[in-house]
Amino acid sequence: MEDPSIWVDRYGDYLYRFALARIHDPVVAEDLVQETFLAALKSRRNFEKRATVKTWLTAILRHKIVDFIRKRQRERVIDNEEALDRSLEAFFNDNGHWKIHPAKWAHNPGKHYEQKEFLDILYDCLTGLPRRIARIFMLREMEGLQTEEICQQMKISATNCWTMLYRARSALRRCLELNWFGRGL
Amino acid sequence: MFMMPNCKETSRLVSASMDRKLPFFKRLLLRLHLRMCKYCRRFEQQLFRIRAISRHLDQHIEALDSAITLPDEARKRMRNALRSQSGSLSR
Repeated sequence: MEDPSIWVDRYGDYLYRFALARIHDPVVAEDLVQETFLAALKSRRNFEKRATVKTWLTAILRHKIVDFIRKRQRERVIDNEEALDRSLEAFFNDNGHWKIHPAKWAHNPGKHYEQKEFLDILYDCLTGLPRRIARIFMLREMEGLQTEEICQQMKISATNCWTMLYRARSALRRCLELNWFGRGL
Repeated sequence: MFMMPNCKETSRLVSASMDRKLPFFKRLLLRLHLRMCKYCRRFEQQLFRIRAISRHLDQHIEALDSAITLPDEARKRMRNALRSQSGSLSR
């Protein structure tokens, strides 16, 4: 097997991206990658030649990520989906009319040169959503899945799915309004 | 029975119509409300714009991803950790 000292340069970026895509926290991602390298070093004898070093390291990292997420879920009792729901309620007054009117959008994200910046903001807004809601939105609008497929994958009812899509869209709309279109207001 | 939906209900119907075919009367009431209410009309247009642009998000995220690299400091720290650990292991 290759010398562990070259792991960092050879696989560091890849593992870091892998962790970051799942954890969304650069500091934690770094830590998990480092732990992965050290764990791999200790268990070097168990490395099976059938696998490449990259898949072997990735497998270790995946375990570390799962452990981390489990631990974090135990710690975070209150889910922020409720908070999102409350903030969306605040758009309407008691008789169901708009209290905070949807603003006129000054820019059209269809224009090519604006698109990249718009996508940056959309992505930021999306990562700010509660994890489950963001996931459902991505399955529906990026991967184009039908509601039934999403229900199956996420193990939720159709009604629940529609409600979460409504929340995702409303929250994204507001976030974009404030961070992109709001500039022209 | 067939009361005109208010804005809050309409906003839900707008989103629902993007995921499933609404029953005839609901569709009719939604259209009627939208014809009268410019804010809900805006809401609808904006949701459809978000949908249209979300299709490009995949490629965008990929492009962002390939620009991400492990910070130099972390790289150095990991190299040192590996070096000191492998030293103590072989001893």
